[in-house]
Amino acid sequence: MSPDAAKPSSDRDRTYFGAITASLSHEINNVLAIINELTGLLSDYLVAAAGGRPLEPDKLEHAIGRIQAQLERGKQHVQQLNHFAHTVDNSRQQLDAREALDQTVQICQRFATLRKCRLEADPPQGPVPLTCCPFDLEHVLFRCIDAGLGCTGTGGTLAIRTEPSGSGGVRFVFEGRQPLEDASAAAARIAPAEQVADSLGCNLEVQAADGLPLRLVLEVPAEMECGGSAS
Amino acid sequence: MEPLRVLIVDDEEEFVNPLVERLNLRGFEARGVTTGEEALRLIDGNQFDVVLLDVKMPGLGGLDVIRSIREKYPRLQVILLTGHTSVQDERTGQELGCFEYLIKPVNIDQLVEIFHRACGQNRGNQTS
Repeated sequence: MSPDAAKPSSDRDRTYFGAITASLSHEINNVLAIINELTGLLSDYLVAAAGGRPLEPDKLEHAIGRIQAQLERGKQHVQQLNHFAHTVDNSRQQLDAREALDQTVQICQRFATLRKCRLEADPPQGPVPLTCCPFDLEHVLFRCIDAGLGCTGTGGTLAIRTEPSGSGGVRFVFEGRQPLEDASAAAARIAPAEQVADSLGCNLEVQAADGLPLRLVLEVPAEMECGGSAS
Repeated sequence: MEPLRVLIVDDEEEFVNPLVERLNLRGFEARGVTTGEEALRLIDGNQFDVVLLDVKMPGLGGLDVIRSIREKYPRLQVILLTGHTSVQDERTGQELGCFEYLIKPVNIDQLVEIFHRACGQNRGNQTS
């Protein structure tokens, strides 16, 4: 069992909060650092020009284009952070599960990159309505993705599908694209996701055997109370 | 005097390229790479006076790289740079003998001053 699996739910909420805000603020810091260097470079060109070196319009245009691209990237990260902050606004609301998954996948892309993995989601065409606490739903999705990435080797892919479940709820399927090499290590990585799913009244079915691809199936009931009492 | 030889290691290429150009404009001999693995290969075959190393990178992270550098080139100065204000990472970096632990973004004049200070005593990873 991983250390996080043994923690009470409030501690697990805190570690989730910390993981998301640390990752997004790190990304925003990276964007600021790049803009800092690019604007500094433009300033260096102007200083050099004042000393008699001719300005090169192509270089200026290139640097400005890169700054604009970073501003767009920074805007996306700020929107993700803002979305995450607002997941605690309502303890119970109707939402589209596709959007919750999309937000979580976007936030988890850096976690995938750091593990040299790919993360792919294939959302269904139509809306997937759920009544739940957005924070709790995104928390359990994050735990499943984190567990899946942790079990996916370098260069591997974790694919996510969303489909309706028989009970009127939603089923999220997380599948590795390559065989597991160490099922006992995988069990420790999956334990926090199982704990969170259980505490929220969701069911997490795990297929983690040596030589077979990892498969996690998360069943979320159509209505889920904040903090976990399924109704 | 020979220019200081600086290696910039960061997985953000958009960060590395302008910083290398700015340092070269200031008289450094700067090179940049985007992975810890590339950094170790380059250090093995070249002389550097100081390495500016990102902490969080895919594959070999900055703390792994500094451990390898310490084993082979104990005199090579390493400055850690990160977007994370992690107390634990900073403590580990200091235990591994990093010269400074900097948080992004960094002012170029401050960075230049730190490079000169770091290289005040020793120059070159290949020197014994």
